[in-house]
Amino acid sequence: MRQILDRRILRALKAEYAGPSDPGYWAGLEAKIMARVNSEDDWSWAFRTWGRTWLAAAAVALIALGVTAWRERVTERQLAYETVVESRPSLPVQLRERLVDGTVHDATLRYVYGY
Amino acid sequence: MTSLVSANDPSSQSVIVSETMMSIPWDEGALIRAAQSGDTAAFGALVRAHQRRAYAVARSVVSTHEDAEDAVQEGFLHAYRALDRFRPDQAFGAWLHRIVANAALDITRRRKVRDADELTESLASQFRDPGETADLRARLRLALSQLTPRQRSVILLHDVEGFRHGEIGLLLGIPEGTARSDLHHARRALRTVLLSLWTAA
Repeated sequence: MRQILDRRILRALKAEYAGPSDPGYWAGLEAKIMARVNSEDDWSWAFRTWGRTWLAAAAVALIALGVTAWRERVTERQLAYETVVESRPSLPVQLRERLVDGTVHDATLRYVYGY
Repeated sequence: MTSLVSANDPSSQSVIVSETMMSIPWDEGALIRAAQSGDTAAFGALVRAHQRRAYAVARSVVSTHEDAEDAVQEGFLHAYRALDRFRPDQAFGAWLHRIVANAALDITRRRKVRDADELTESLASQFRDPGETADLRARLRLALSQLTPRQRSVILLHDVEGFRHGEIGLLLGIPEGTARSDLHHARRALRTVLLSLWTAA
């Protein structure tokens, strides 16, 4: 009984899950797969070709950007140096006067707090 | 229909590939090497040779013929992309079947949200043996809908497609022992459901 049942089940399963028997179906499926493979190839070729071009362009742009930034920094340093060297402010004289005043004031305070 | 595929490998001669390939000697290794070096015609020959078995693997995992077809297409595309990683010491069929089974499992995961009615209905295939009665098919579908998806895959891969437990384990990513026990439970469940249906009828 069990074997008969198993045979019937197996036969029914095979019928239910059998692939199409029409050779045309398989030729069509193969064509679909190969169309996707070929389009994949086109994309991958385009990516490889254009990818290389874009990579080279990006590298050149990066180098140019680096050189420009370096030149700007050098110019800025030069300007800053020249500004410091060439300017003669009156600040040191005023500072000296304040320091003298401050010193006298501090001496008075030290004298008062000393007692 | 017979097509001639030139393999790029200088050590191999032209390879004849046809629908009845099993009876014609052919060099799968040469085709793989040619495909790896970019010969899409060689890959086409591999598709022709393996697509039926790949469909059977996919059909065991997914619920519909359409999903099985999608899984086969996805599987072959993945295989093509990964071709340079294929090692010559592997069996191409087993390697490909694992990729197709993974593609089918992915589709199953994406379609997880389905109500039972839709699933039962979708088990119907448009390619059936006309000798089987509609009644039996309906009972079988009902019985199959009561199995877990993995049990269904295991019984189909083992009993219908003839894969061994170890191979099924590799395909579905489960231990061999699990495949063995799934098969046991699936058979028992189908017997119980179908026997009760037949005796009731």
